Amino acid sequence: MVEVNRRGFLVSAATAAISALADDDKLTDGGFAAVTPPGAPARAIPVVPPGAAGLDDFSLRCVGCQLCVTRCPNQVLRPLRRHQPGMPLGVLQPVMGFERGYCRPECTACGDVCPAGAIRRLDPQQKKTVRIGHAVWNRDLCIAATEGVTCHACERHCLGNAITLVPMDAGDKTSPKVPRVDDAKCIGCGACEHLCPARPMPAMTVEGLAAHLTS
Amino acid sequence: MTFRTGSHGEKVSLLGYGAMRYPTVDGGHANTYHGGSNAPIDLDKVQKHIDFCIEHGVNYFDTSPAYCRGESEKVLGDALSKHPRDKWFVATKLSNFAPKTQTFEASRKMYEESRRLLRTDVIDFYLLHSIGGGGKNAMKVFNDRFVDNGMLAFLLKEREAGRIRNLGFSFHGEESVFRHAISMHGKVHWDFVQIQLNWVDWHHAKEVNPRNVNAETLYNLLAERNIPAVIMEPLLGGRLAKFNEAVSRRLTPLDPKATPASWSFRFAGSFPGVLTVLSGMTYLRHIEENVKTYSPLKPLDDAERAALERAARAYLSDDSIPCTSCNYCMPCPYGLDIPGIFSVWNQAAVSGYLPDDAADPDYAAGRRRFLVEYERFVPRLRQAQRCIGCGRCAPHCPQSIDIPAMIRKVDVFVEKLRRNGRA
Repeated sequence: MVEVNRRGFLVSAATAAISALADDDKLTDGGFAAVTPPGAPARAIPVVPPGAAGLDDFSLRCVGCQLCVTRCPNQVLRPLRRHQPGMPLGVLQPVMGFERGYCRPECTACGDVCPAGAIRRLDPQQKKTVRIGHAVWNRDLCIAATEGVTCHACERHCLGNAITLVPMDAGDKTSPKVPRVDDAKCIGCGACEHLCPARPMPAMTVEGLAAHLTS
Repeated sequence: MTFRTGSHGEKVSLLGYGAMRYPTVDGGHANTYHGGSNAPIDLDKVQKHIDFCIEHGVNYFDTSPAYCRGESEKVLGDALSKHPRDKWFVATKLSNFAPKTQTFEASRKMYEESRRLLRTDVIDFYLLHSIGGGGKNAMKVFNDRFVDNGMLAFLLKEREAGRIRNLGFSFHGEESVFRHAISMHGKVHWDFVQIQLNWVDWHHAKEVNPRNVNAETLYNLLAERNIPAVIMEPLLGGRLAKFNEAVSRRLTPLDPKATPASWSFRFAGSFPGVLTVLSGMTYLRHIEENVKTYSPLKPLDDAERAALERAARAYLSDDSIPCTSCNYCMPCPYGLDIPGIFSVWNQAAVSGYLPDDAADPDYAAGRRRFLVEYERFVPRLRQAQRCIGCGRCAPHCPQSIDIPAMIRKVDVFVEKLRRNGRA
């Protein structure tokens, strides 16, 4: 109960702060709004790179050498710091996070360097078809709810064209639009999570798939 | 320095100082980026620049309550106060764009605040700031801001009382509002009007954007009524200070030593109805160069004017976005560096490295150069991909650029470049 109230308060406070902006009572020109990097949400199931067959297989093969971590040009891969109960991954085995970037379609660096066969080598065409996770939308965090504006960030940058925007209130076509994710198309690249403007936590979170799928 | 005569006999220097692009302590200017910082204005440099201006005859200083995050007037007032009052004219504006500043009380407060910050009882030139904005509602916006709230009547009384020497307006946008304001001339008697004029906008403003008005139309409407014209954007925010190859081919043979900026200042200054040409000069070398161009002005001859017209057509052939880095759109609530993004794009457009065909032999080099410039100039969290498409920026643009669409264009372009390379 306390949690709900606190969250309700935070959301309404954020709405009040932003509706002042929406009135566009900007008095002066120039300068920059402060920007904060995206937050790192908790995941029920960790995300591991395309080329790993799934969590079990990956955790058995990966030797924790960190080659993929050092090569990842988008700073997505990082060593697991704390064992997550119930998950097969061990400390120092790599997992993905999207605060600094997302898994870019042209990049196959991790599979190219993996010496243990934990991340298999894929070409960019193959990589596009591998589903490593799926995006989950959190209504309470989305700026359509907190600020009352339609945001196109996730829809525009979705690599699998898995996101369509629909009115938040199905009965009101003029209500701010929100993303609807087609799980069959989402590959889990993290573009939506990385580019989501919601702070401190993104409204889009990628949840891993315990066994990767190829479509 | 060449001088012109104002409506009340003022001897005004043909070069005017625009207080919108002050130098900042990080070496950039107050209206822009440099790594996306909010760097403070370099007050010592501003003082030096203004001292230099006054020593060299520049006596018209233009500011606004909105410029430079609202700091421009105070900085200018402080710097000018070191010089005798008869050495300078100051121009400022009623920048009541925000609805909450459009009541009589709020607008009047803005006017009084300008006099306080500029440390003067008398404002030499006072402008209704940027009339013509608001798209389809432009006429209503004009009436809301100046007429219905009684501000224009009040300002006319202030002029009568001698607290405003010259009353005028600046214009961007809807032609009908310009014509309407001009039709008020018999009653109001505008002492001057500020317009955007340069060798591209003279005949081609409408080509750049159908919502804009050619400078020739504006200038002639003023000249017919003997209303002195103050010129802004003579260089389009610096974009005419660098020639693309096609322009350079047409102009350089006529005068190999002339700088791009000097062509533009000579163009604007050659019109006899022009009172002063404003320039936001960030660096001393800008001031030196422009002072030199106007000491004295050598008016363009017919051959030079014709060459500039040909150059204007060549200028339009590149893929530039018509942004002048005025920063009226800023700050973007989502943190984007809108003018910074456009400036990287335009730099590439003018220099010819907007690679679009991967089969082109120059593609790899162009791709690399563009991405390096982009990453260096615009921090990741302020890049085009961070645009959410809310559109709050667009109504503020005096050049009527569809900012969200152009940002999206850069975003798509960059994404294509990134995908077309090895990781």
